[in-house]
Amino acid sequence: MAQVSLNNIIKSYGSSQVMHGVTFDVADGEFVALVGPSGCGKSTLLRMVAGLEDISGGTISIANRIVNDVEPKERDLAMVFQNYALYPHMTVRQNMGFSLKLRNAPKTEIETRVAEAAGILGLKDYLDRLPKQLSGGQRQRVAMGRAIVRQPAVFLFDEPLSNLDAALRVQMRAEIRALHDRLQSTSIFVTHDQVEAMTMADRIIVLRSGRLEQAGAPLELYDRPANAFVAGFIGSPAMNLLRGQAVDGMIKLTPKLSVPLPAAADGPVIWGIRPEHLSLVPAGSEGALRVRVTAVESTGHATFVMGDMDGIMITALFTDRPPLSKGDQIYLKASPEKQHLFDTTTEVRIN
Amino acid sequence: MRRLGFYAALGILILWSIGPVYWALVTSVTPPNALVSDILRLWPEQMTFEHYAKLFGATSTSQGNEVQSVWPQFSQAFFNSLLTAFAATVLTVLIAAFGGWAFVRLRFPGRDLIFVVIVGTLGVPAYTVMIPLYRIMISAGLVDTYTGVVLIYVSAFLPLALWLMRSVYQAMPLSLEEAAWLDGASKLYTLVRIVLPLAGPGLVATAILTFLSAWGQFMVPLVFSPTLDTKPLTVLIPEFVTRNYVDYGLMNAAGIVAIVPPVLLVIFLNRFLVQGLMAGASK
Repeated sequence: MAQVSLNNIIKSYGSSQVMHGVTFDVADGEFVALVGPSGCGKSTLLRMVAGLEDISGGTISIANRIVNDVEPKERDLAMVFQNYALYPHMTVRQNMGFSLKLRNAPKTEIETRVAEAAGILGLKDYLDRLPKQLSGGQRQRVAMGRAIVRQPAVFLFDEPLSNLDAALRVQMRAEIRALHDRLQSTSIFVTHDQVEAMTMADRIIVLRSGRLEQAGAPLELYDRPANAFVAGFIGSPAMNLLRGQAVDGMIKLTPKLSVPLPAAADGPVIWGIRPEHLSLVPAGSEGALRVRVTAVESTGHATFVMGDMDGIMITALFTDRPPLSKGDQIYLKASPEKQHLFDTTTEVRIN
Repeated sequence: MRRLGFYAALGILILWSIGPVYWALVTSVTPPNALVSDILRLWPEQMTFEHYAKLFGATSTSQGNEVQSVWPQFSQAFFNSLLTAFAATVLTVLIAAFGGWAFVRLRFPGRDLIFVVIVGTLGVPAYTVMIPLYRIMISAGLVDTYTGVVLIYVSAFLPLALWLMRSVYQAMPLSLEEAAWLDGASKLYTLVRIVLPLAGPGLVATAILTFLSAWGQFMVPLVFSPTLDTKPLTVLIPEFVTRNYVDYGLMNAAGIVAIVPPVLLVIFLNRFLVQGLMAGASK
């Protein structure tokens, strides 16, 4: 068990800098998710922690030891790769025991620890199979098993679920979280899927273009995103982010359309409201937005309504199945306490 | 119609590749006097093994004269061919297995330039380096030695082998090696225990190519193997031409025997050329 600290991490390839001083700590036993769109540097950051990628500046320490120049194998961490990276010519047993064998662990110890891990992961019947004889989910488990037999100080996960189908992904999500609760090991989990991050992590770190945008508990990020980027990235369907002008306690979205200003501001702002925080109101209600429905999608438990209000697209989500169809005229009202306001230029939260 | 064209093309291809071998086989079992007959025969009226007997046997008679057995020469040349081709193959594959990996996974200054230069030597005609190479070998005292011939073979076939192995390693996922490093393996251990077993088909293909090239080499041994100490079959067989008689039967019998080792090698190694070794590594 160990804590991981990243301090002002910089990465450049030649003259182009891709990581601009990222700083965060992962506490002992904490499960942290690194999320962000493709190319945000989350995988690079993880590989830096693993020692597979050089660091151009800053320090990484594991268990209070700076590991910048420490070989990957000396860092006492295990990594689950996106493509699993199982050794194809070794059986499940050999795959899982490989690291212990390299440490010259006694045969009996390797046996017990592999058996223990196989028991946890439900792989007991597959120990003598080759990876190619396993299904995708089983391979995923072997990759996990290879990590846990090591009993490392830190677990690193590099988008381990992205190759699985949707149902299996949900199942493995719960399994990985349960495994973490059981082993209580420090874990860093990279994903581009904010749902994975929200459901699994104790804390989420949002990255964009090599910069840390916000770090916090999942619901904290959902309730109070620090900037417009995090607001749009966390939550599905994405938050409506509408540009307008703040004047006299109102936000002018278009010449004909205004909403009350949720906080003191002046000049250009971005007004944010999550689709699930819009409700249907009768025509003529105070502060109601007149919307013409352009599309309705239903998943059964929720209904997404896409609409047009004076040329601006807006999305709303209802769970009570309102009888709407394309072309309808509806009125939407935003919950006053669920609104977000961001500065247009800096995108930083105002309210 | 398209099928017809396909089979026609196939027939031409088979004729093209098997035809000469078949003709050599026919010639090797045709009596000497029938070889110069006017009638074209696809199979001799009277099959004979006298050429093979001459090759493997003791003394024989030719046109009424007693002829010295060629077996001592033939067997020595056969051994020379085997030894030089085998040694060149082992060395080339060994160097290419490690060197190819270095060109993919290790970072060192001028890596790609060095590789281009090495592969670029493939474009240098052998004739242009023959004379300087001969002077070097003379001063090194390596003419007519196994070491000399094998060294030349290795230098000639290594670029292609390196190129091949480099593309084999390039096609392998880096994450496999990274997983092994994180598991605590050194780079060398990873190469030997994880990478090489999976590069098997590539190594076999490289070995086959190198062996066939070395086995069929004519010009290099013609210059560098003047005596039976190192002279291979390719150089010996044409010497069955004497001033007033070309022993076609003997030459073709020797040629047929010379085909056997590469054929056996390909049949033996073919089973390791299987695809799908990488199955199950990912996804």
